Amino acid sequence: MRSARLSQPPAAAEGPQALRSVLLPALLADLPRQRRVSILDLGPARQANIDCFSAFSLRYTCWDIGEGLAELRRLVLPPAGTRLSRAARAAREARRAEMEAARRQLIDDMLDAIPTRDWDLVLAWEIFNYLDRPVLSLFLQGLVDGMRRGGRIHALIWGQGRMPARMADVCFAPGPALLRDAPTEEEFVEGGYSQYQLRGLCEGLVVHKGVLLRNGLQELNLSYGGRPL
Amino acid sequence: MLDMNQIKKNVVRWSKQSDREEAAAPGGQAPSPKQETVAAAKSRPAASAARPPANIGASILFKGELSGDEDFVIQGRVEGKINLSDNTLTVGEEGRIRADIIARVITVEGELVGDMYGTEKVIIRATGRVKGNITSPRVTLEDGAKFKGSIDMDPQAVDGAAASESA
Repeated sequence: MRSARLSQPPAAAEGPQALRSVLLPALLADLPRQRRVSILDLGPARQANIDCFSAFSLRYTCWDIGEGLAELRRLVLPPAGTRLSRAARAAREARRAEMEAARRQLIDDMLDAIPTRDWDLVLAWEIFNYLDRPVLSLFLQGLVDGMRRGGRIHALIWGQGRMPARMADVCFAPGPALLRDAPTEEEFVEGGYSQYQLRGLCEGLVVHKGVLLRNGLQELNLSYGGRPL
Repeated sequence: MLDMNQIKKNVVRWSKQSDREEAAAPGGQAPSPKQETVAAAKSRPAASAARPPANIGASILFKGELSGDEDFVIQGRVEGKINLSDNTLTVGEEGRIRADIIARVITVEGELVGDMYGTEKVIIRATGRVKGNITSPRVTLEDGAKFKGSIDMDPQAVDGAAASESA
């Protein structure tokens, strides 16, 4: 995510915005019926999501990683000055390695704390945008370690060179749709990931399907491993 | 040899006694022993519901296993295990719990770290902050409530978990 502000932010939306989900119905229909499935939601716990999944025989885990993400974003080196002495450059490199280790540790701690494993489906709505590419790569690797082979990640990712400065709350709505609750005066910054940029971030994880929604969000179905659910 | 006078006296006495029992029983019928048991059982929850819930005040710190046969409101701190399988438990706004809980209905308005087994339902109010797993057929999460953990609403899982926890 780059922090430069866009000169002309898009028009503010009034109240929660309903987005028709193209991929979720098929994704939910594909969930195995012969065994209890495990779903991990990386966003804040919402009644609408609980209601949606109460129809299934499954274990639904809500694990809001918002705080962890904020902490990860703080572990960033300040921008480099134009001219640095050799000693300053060496100190900066040493600090970079230290930051990298701290980020890796934080990601491990964040994911290890989740009480369930073997997830069949992970919901990651507007989360990946807030991780820089190297960190996102680490995060995805940690995530797939806890996934069942053949599991899916349903992700909402901004991908048109701009993204909201703050993460919005997204939850299920009848339809099936997704309800995006963002501030009315939403501020946008440069950033976002295209499907192409997501390639190669994590071994075994591929974009199975992707749909561009009307507001610039991409709805993605990422698949881990070759075998189906 | 039968004394007819004595027989007549006994009949009159039994008849009066029977009238008194019928008057005492609701609906004019004497209760059978089985009916009496059912009536008593039914009256117990009513009496429990009428009774105000037991309260652990905000200044109390309790460590250990808390169990009982009445509803509970906790405003203080409890660490350990809480078993109120037939009753309701409310963790008040000032309540700070570090315990696994079994209850019929669990309502959290304060802070809870631990697993919850609600045989009927679990409610997390807007002020509630919960970290732990929920096993219950019905879960209500109010807007603003904080919850981190897993939810199991499968009836078989609920029964199994409650049985193993209370064992």
